[in-house]
Order: sequence, then C-alpha cells, then structure tokens
Amino acid sequence: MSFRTWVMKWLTTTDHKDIGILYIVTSIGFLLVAGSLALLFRVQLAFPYSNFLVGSEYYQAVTVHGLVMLLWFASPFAIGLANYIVPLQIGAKDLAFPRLNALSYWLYLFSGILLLLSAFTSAGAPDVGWTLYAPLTARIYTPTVGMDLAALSIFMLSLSITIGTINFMVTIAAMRAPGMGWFKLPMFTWSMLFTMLLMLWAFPPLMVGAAVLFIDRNLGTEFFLNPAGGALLWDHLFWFFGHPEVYILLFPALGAMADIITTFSRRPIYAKKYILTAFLIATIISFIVWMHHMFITGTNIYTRLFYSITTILISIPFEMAVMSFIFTLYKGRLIYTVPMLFAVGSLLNFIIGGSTGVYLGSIAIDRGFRGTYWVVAHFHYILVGTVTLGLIAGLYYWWPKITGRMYSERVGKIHFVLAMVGVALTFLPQFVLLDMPRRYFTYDVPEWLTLNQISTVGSFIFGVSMLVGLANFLLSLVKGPPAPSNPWNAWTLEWFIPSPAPKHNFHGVPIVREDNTVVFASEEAIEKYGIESIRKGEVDIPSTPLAGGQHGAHASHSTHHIATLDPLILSTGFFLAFAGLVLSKPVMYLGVIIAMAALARWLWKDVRNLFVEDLPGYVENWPFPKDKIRSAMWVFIASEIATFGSIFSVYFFIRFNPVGKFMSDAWPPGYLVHDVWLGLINTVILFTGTLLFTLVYLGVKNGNEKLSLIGLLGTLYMAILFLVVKYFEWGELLAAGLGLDAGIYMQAYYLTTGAHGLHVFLGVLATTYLLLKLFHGTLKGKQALSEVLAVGIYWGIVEMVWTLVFPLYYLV
Amino acid sequence: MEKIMRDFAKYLGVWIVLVATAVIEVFFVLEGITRNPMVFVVAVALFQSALIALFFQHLREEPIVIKGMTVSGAILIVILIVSAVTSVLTCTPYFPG
Amino acid sequence: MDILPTQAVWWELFLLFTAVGIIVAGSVTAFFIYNLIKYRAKGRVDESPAEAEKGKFRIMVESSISGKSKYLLFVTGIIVFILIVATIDETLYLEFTPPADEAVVIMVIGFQFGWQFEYSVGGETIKTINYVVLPTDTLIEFKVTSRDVFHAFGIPEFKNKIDAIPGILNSMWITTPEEPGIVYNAYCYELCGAGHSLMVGKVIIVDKEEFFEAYNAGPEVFGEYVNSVISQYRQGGALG
Ligand code: HEM
Ligand SMILES: [Cu+2]
Ligand SMILES: [Cu+2]
Repeated sequence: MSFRTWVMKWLTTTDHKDIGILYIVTSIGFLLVAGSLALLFRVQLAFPYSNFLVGSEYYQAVTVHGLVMLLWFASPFAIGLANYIVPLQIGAKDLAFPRLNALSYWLYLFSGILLLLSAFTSAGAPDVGWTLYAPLTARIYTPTVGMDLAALSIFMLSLSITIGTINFMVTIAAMRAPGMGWFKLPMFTWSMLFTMLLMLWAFPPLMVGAAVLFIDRNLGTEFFLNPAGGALLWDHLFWFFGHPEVYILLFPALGAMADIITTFSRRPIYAKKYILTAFLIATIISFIVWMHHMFITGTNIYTRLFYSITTILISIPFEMAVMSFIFTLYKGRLIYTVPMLFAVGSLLNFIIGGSTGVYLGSIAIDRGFRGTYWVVAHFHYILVGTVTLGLIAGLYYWWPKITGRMYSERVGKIHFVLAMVGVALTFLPQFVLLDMPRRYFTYDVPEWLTLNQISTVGSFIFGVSMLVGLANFLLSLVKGPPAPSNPWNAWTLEWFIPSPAPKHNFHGVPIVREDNTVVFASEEAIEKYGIESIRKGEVDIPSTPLAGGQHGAHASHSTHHIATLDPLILSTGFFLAFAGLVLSKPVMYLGVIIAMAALARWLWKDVRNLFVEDLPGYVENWPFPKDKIRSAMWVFIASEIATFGSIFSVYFFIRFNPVGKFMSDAWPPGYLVHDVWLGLINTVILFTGTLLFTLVYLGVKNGNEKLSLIGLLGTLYMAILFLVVKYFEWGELLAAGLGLDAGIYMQAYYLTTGAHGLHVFLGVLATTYLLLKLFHGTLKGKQALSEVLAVGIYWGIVEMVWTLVFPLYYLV
Repeated sequence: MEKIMRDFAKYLGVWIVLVATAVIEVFFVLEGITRNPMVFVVAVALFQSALIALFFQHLREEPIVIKGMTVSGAILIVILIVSAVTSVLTCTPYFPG
Repeated sequence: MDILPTQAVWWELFLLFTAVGIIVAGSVTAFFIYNLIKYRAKGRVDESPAEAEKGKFRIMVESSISGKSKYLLFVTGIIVFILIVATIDETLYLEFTPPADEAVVIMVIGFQFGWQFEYSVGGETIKTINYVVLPTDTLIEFKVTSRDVFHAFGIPEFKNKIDAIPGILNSMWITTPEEPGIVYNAYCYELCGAGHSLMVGKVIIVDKEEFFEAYNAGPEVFGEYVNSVISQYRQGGALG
C-alpha cells in the first residue's frame, strides 16, 4: 500500500474497526496533552512560591486539563474500544450507520482541535475551570476569544456524542446476532449501553448550556449574568450533565473490568442480573443527584437533603457491582496477566474512590470538603485510579485482537506497578490535604508543602508509567509476536474470529444456540435449515470461523465498507464555520459553504439510494423494530426531549426564580407582549403541515405517487409559511423595541422560538430530501417507508414542542 | 383509494381535536375562565403531545412488540386522560387558583 | 456559651463515616485481597472451553446467585440508613443558626480578588477589606454574597463554608474559640479568576470584652478599634 492510499484509507474509512483505532489513537494524543499540563501545574504546587506557572496561565492549564481529560480523552477512549469491540461482541458486521460513525469521529477530532486552538489565541485558553462557572464566563469577566472557542468546541463535541449515541443504541438494540439475547450480551457491551443511555440525556443540557453561553457572550443576552438565571441556572444545567458524566466515564471501565475478571478467573461473572440491575438503578438515580454539587449554594435545605439522600443511596448499586466482581474471583483460578492486574488494581482504587465519595454526599460533611483537595483526591481516585486504569486494562486485553500482536508481559507489569504507585503517591496525600482549597497555585501553610511535594513526585511516577506503557504498545506493533485468535481462552464472540478481526468480521452469520455454543452459518445454511432449528441445535452445520480470509465460500457476507470523504469534509466545514465565527468572518462563510456542499453531496447519494442496507431478517432485535432508521429517529427524539427539556427548564427557572421578582424586568403575562392570534395561526399552520405529511405516508405505503407529491408540497408549504410568519413576528417585535435588550423574558422567547424555528428549518430540509427522492423515483419500497415514517416522527416532535412553546410564551 | 380516504379521515379527526383544543385554550386563558393558567396550559400541551404521540404509534407499520407497544401506549393514554382531567379541573372552583 | 461548634459536629460525622468506611470497605478489601491470593492459579491452566468441543465455541453467560448476596444487601441497607439519618440530623443543625444571647452578624462580600467585611454598628456600616476582627467565644453569623462572580467563603478550622453568589444572600455560622490571639485564614473555594489563589482573608480573634466595649461605644470608636487591631497584626505585633 502506498503512503497515499494508506492516508486515504484512514480519511475515508467507515469501518467500525478503523474508526475505533482512530478514536483510541486520537484520545491517547489528548491524554498526552492534558497529562503534560497536569505535570506542569504539579511542579508549581511543589514550589508554591515560585513563579513557574501562576495566575491566568495556571488556570488555563487547569481548565484545559480538566476539559480535555473528561471530554476528549476518557469518554472517547472508551468509545474507541467500544467501536472496535461492541459490534464484534454482539455479532454485527458494523455499527448501524457507518457513515455517521465516521462523522462522529471527525466531529470529535475537530472539536478537540477547536478547543486547543484557543491556547494559541492572543489571551490564551479559557481560565475559568472545567466547570465553567457563571458569571465568570461572561464577556465582562472573561473577554477572551478562547472562551468562545471553548463554548463552541463543547457544542460541537455534543453533536458528535449525540450522533454516536444514536448509532450505538440502534446497533446494540437491533443488530445482535441471532440467538444473542439481552442476557447473553457480554458485560462490556452492556456497560456501553448504559453509557449511551446516560449520554443521550446528559449531553443535551450541556449542549444547550454551551450554546446559551455563546449567545450570552456574543449577542448580549444575559441568561447567566442576570441573577434571575445567573450562576444557579448554569449550575443546574451543568451538573445535570456533570453528574451523569461521571458515570459515563465509569461504566465502560467497569464493563471492561468485568469481562477481564471473568476471563482470568475462569468463571462467569457472578450474579450478572444483579449487576445489570445495579447499573440500571445507578443510571436512573444518577439523574437525580446533581445538586450534590450545589450543597453550599444556599438553595432550599429540604431540596438539598433529598439530593443528599439520593447521593448516599447511589453507593448501594455500586457496592453490589463491586461485590459481584469480588465474588467472581472467589473460588476462581486467577491468572495474573497484565490486563487482569490492571483490572483488579482499578477495582481496589474504586473501593477507595467510592467510599471517599460517600462522605461528600452528606451535606454536613460537604460543608467542610467542598472545593478542597479531598474532592480532588476522591474523583481522581475514580477517574485516574479506576477509569483510566480500567480502560488501560481493556486496551491490554483487546490489544491482540485489535492489532494482531502480543506485547511484553514483563514491561506491562512494570507499567502496572508504576501506575499503581503513581496513583497512590499522587492522590493519597491529597486526602490529607483536606483543608487546602483546590485550584490554588500558591499557599502559605507550611504543613501543606511536603504533602504537595509527595503528590508531585507521584504524578511524575504516573507519567513515567504511561510512557512505559506507550513504549510497550509501540514495541508490540513493531516486533510483537503474532497473536492467536483467542490468546486468553475467553468466552465472548470477539475471540472466536482471527486477530486482528478480518474486514468483514465474521465468516458466516454467528448464531448463538440455546446451549450457548456458537456456530457460524452461511446464508445458504440459514436458508436451508432456518434460523430457529439452527438455534435450537436441531441441525449440526459445519462452521469454520477461524479460517481467515477465504471469501469464496461466503461471498455474500463480504461487506464492502463504504469509503467516503463526506464525513471528513462535513466536519471540516463545521470546524471552519465555528472557528471562523469567532476568529474571522470570511473563514466562517467558507466553512458554511463547505459544510452545505458536503451535506448536499452526502444526501444526494442517499437520494439515489446508493447505500441502502436492510437489516437482515434474522437479527436479534427484541423489542425494537427491524428498522434502523426509524429506531434511530426514536432515539433522537429521546435526546430532543432532553434538549427542549433543558430549554424549558431555563424558562421555568427564570420565570419562577424568586430573585427575579425583584428585578425591574419581571416577567409579564405573554398575551400582553405577543400577538396571540399570530401565534394561534402558526399553531394551526404547523398542525396542518403534519396532517398533510400523513398523505406522504399513505402515498408511499400504497404506491400512490401523486398523493405523496401533494403531501410533500403541502408540508413544505406549511412549514415555510410557519417560518415566514415567524419572521414577520420577530420583525414586528424588534420594531416595537422588544429586542434582545428588552429583558430576560424576551431573550428567553427568542431562545426558545429560535431553537424551535431551527427545528422547523431542519424539517424543511428533510422534507425537501424526500421530495428529491420522489422526483428521482426512489421514494418507494421499504427503505422509503421507513424514511418517511422517520421524518413524520420528526415533524411530530416539532409539533409537540410547539404545543408547549405557544401557550408558555403567548398566553400565560 | 377508499381505504386511503378512511385512513386520512382518522388523521383529520386528530387534527380537528388538536386545532379545537388550541382554540379553546386561547379562549379560556384570554377570557380568564381558567383559574390557574400555568397548570392549565401545561396540561393542554401534555394532552396534545400525548395525542400526537399516540397517533404516531398508530402510524407505525408493525408494532414494536406487543409488550413494548402496550406499555408505552398505556403510558400515553394515562397521560392523555390525566392531562385532560387536569385541564378541565383548572377551570372549576375545585382547583386551587 | 453552650452551642456545639460547627467543627465538633463535622468531626463527629466525619468519624462516623470513617468508622463505617473502615469496617465496610476494610472488610470488602480484605476479602478481595484474600481471594486474590488464595485463588491464584497454580501451575498450568489447561482447559479452554472453546477447544473442549471441537468446532464449537461457547459463550459464558451467568453463574448462579448464592443467597448470601441478599444478606449483604440488607446489611448495606442498614448502614446506609444510619449514614442518612446522621446526615439529616447534623445538616439541619448546621443549616439554621442557633439562637444565642450574643451574636455578631457580619456581611461578607466577595469580589475579584478579596473579601469585604461589614459590621453594622449603631446604624452605621464599618467596612474592612480582607481582615475581620471577631470576639472570642461568640456566635458569629456571616451573611455572604458577591459583588461580581461566583466565590465561596470558608474557614477550614470551622469546617464550614458557603457560596458567595451575586444576587443571592447566603448565611453561615461559626462559634469562635475561647482563646484570643488566634488568626485564621479564610479562603475562597470557588475559582473566580486569575487572582483566586490570592483571595485569602485573615480572621483575627480578639478578647470578647475588649471587642464589645468598642462595639458598644459606637461606630467611630469601633472603626478605630478594628483598624488598630488589623494594623497591629499586619506589623507582626502581638495581639491583645
Ligand atoms: C459512590 C459513589 C460516589 C459518590 C457518593 C460521589 C459523590 C460526590 C460528591 C457529593 C461530589 C461533590 C463534591 C463537592 O464538589 O463538594 C463529587 C464530586 C466529584 N465526583 Fe463523585 N461520587 C461518587 C462516584 C464518582 C464517580 C464514579 C466518579 C467518576 C467516574 C466521580 C467523579 C467526580 C467528579 C469529577 C467530581 C468533581 C466535580 C467538580 O469538579 O467539582 N464520582 N462526588
Ligand atoms: Cu456528582
Ligand atoms: Cu475565588
């Protein structure tokens, strides 16, 4: 392969395995950046009177470190592993939407670059802490463009995450190999499913928060500045994301640890159903604990007590999970390979990190601990000790599968010992520093000095351990011995195929039989015997899954992965548009043009039905429809509910905030400000548009093109009419002096109707797409029907949101 | 064609209910008939949303699965009824104003 | 004064959590490490379920659950219940300022980058920046807010802190020690900008009688008194 084709392969790939590798490599890059920053500020803390890294620079380092570690290293690293492993574990050929998967990756990469770009602007990266507390982030307190870039990078990352979430959920839900029932899924896949559930609901508030922050800074609104919204509004939005985020980070690591511990104890995971229940409970409760980050904000004490109780309660499911890991070891035959060492090491750290977190759940104790190094020690024990080491365990575990090569066990063990010592030396002293405020670059309490210096030494040991690990991996790539297909004698599907996984993953369709044995059946065999009888073990079919690279016999299975530049170009467009928005208008226009062109190119391929791929009839999809597009739309709707939920909570928070009552711009009843009749007309227009869309459905279903055409044109007409009315309405309001400077209630109005209008606009695009398909003669058949239904569901959510927007702003 | 028209008539029915409730909502709020407008409009919005969601459940080609269908459908119907009752109640003296 | 100080409450609860933590996490860890050592594989691990049956691959699903795990859940439940009850009890105590015969109310206003303290004496406001003088053995209530961004006001020794948020007035109380002459650091516990690390206030404890004598003598005397204590401290002189 020439260098050029090699580069093109990575730029155009949509193969989940390649993208997994891209994610892993990129996230390790971000780890190195953020890790180096940490070492820098640890040096400053060891010499508190020095001027090595102080003031704004210190805080820039802290902020970038936090943001990058959480959002651009830990999560994406897990997503990278999941990209490679999850489809293999469930017996799928790829993720549900390979091109969207590539889009996720490129958006992720460019969003990270966007953030790092801020470090090269004149005033540097943001220096406000990864929590971005308002109102410090407001333009008047932080005028730097770095802050704007950071807000946009978070927004862009949220897009990437949302797309990825949809992709994974549909894949796990509806693309499992025949016989791979829910309870047969390996723990890692399960944990990724919970991660996705959390992401689906946690990221929209962050996305809304980042968008509003950007608007505040650039259009003069004051959501996070006006005390009616202000610091507490940001706190709520941020921590509603922030707490689930910590489980988003944790679950993949626990899942990897579970698989590893199972394999190397030579026992099945103990009480799988208990752990899964525990994870489910933790997932649910994690959405009602966020105010434990606001224990000393002085909000209503009984509300805070509620959150205190839920927080302490959430330790129970995790305790169950830990116990079941330990019971798996009990009476096992433990083999201490490198991944196993890392897994049990992270479990040990998890016990320390978890039990020190329980303290913080108690309001009375948190009054002492909030904002101190105890908190830092707690979450680093989890984030570094558990999450990072757990995921590294995963990398060591799946490395042979991913690269086809083994590594040096000896060097791996050195890596392990150094990492454990490093974590302990770095973070144990910080528990003792329980009075020291976090994010201080200097202090003059002599007792704190030695502890900080120990911690700094520890952090360098940890840094060295990571270099050792990196060297181990690189050496393995260069001259590691080839890996057998199942080096660990493991019991999950990914180990039943060659290492590295072949391009098409499986020869034949993997079928999990009732006795839990797996056969790999050819399409012909499936045709001949039927899935059911193979699954029940009534017929014994020959299967040669390990014979690598023979396409001939199973030609029908060799998926050719789509190679396309569209995702890369589209993300580049986004990147230029966002960077340009802050730095240079012409670049922005260029970016917008590129993005639009890429999108058009992308959709044009779909108009021509170039990549129609039905789910095969035999996939395991209970209880979801055998329809990727429609399932994806439902998942998207769920995330939309969180998005608009966040926007409406902004409304309710501001409107019912007692602080706001004392403001000069208290919220007037809607009908005094807005034209009720215009609003009502728009309501009817929107309802009618959706009604007409049902004609499209009926038309496609019954093969009546004329009906579809009427429906599409009618919907388009109504949707555009809606936007035109909105346009005039805004114009009138502006003319009447009710612009963005007319008070926070007008700002909320523009925010909400703007977000809704944007959705109407996207609906127009989607409907136009269907219209093009109609003209092109491809709006027929099963594929078209699911697309039509998906767009219909989309119009439904646009309509539902309006049923709330209209009365909340126009009436009451 | 006749079957299509019959299907369409159902959707038209939903549309009529949606439009009618929207008009009634405006009328009740502007005339001050409802005692607690905030609760009232949220209830009406929930009612309309549940109706729309049920409508899409109906549109679906094959049911997701009987179980999933009944669960989500049942939830939607409960929301529909509760919100309808609430919205009516907010216009009566039995509701705290 | 017979008010249980905030730090006493805090340490009590901290020790309770620590005791429980050591018992629970300790025994879990002990069992964990015991397993790690006891069940390590000796010699060759031979079997491979994959190869056991030629041409067949087996996935591993689940082991049975022993009844013991239910006990465990029960025990955890009780422990967590104890922690919750103790938390509620102590939290409510800290949350509401206890009644006291003598209490001093002090306004604390955070700003970039420092603390402004305000006494109200005889209808007038005495302001100090970054230094605050407090009497011994007295209940102090801080009313805390911010003039610009989000700060948090706390004095580590009293194990109590509260956010200073623009537009919001929060309160927090402590009781001062009986010995005069101690100086505490008051820190900002929320990142508030480039000078956050420099937001260290000094809390100077002076003799109660002296303090109230000046306090009762009216704003002018009190202002002078406070300033003299502060400048005395800044010159490194002994207090009192
Ligand atoms: C036993 C379970 C846990 C409990 C009870 C718990 C409790 C808490 C509490 C109450 C805080 C707020 C402390 C404060 O700021 O005053 C906190 C902070 C934090 N926790 Fe945990 N936690 C647990 C597990 C985790 C896990 C699993 C993670 C990560 C994977 C995590 C990551 C964090 C982070 C990042 C913060 C700091 C947020 C900041 O920057 O302020 N925690 N934890
Ligand atoms: Cu949390
Ligand atoms: Cu500060």
